[in-house]
Amino acid sequence: MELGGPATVPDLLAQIGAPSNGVAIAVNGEIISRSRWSETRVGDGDIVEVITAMQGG
Amino acid sequence: MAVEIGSLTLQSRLILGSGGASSHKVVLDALHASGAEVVTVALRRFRPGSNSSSLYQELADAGAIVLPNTAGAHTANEARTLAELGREALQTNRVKLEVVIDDRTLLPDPIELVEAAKDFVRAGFEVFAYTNDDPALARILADAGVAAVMPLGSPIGSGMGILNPANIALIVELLDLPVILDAGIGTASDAALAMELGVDGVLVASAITRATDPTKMARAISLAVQAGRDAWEAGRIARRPLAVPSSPLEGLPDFNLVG
Repeated sequence: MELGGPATVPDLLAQIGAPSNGVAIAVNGEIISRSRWSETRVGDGDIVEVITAMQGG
Repeated sequence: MAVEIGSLTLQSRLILGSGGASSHKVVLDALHASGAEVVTVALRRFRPGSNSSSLYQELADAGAIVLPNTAGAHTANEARTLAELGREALQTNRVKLEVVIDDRTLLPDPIELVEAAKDFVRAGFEVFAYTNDDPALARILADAGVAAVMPLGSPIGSGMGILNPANIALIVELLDLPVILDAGIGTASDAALAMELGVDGVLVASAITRATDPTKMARAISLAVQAGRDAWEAGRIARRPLAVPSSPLEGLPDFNLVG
């Protein structure tokens, strides 16, 4: 999806309306630990996975 | 009385699976009605534009311990990816390990399961291992260092109850480790039977979340778990083929007395 320019992980979560708790992020195949979210920038061409807790087993 | 399962000290022996609920509210209502303290969740992609309320946050606000699972994994490697995501998302080392052979039976794949259990323990996870009702496999998992084994009663969501009670009892007898009956519970009596077999706890999802009245079923199953545990601790009488009189045979009156 298109974002408004390069963003940090917390910016990205806010833009897509995702919660910040109970979420894991991977950028280009690498899980980014929470402590590195604000220093990690995502931009054009990056593949971002946003994983969250859902109802299950 | 409290029960210790791995690093958890719990008052309730019922673990709630959140799968199958029609809304977050159904899960939260079942949590309150049952008194369960642990709730399992799956990890899936966030869909932009979907319900953005965080199930994790709602459960945490309700005081629940949220246990991520690896449901959806068919190999040890897939399970490890889901476990790492769960550890990162929920900030916990606890994980319910599930690796299934196919999506039709959802039965655990014993080969991948054992490989994943060893790998997870090495990686510092506290492993709650969903497994078959096989005492030998349960022992292998125990030796691998898991925190608890979770044998199935019957396939996930089947509501078929406990198909091999003798094997569940044998797992309890053989392992010096918490045993949680997982999967297959259909109604309250199944949960009571599980506890009467000596398991330390029961995990129930579909039987509650897909019941016509999930809140009432949550309460019913919670009471059944307590009743079954009391019965196990009380020690049931032996089964025998012939009657054992409960009234004295001596001291019978003269049956020729006229009234």
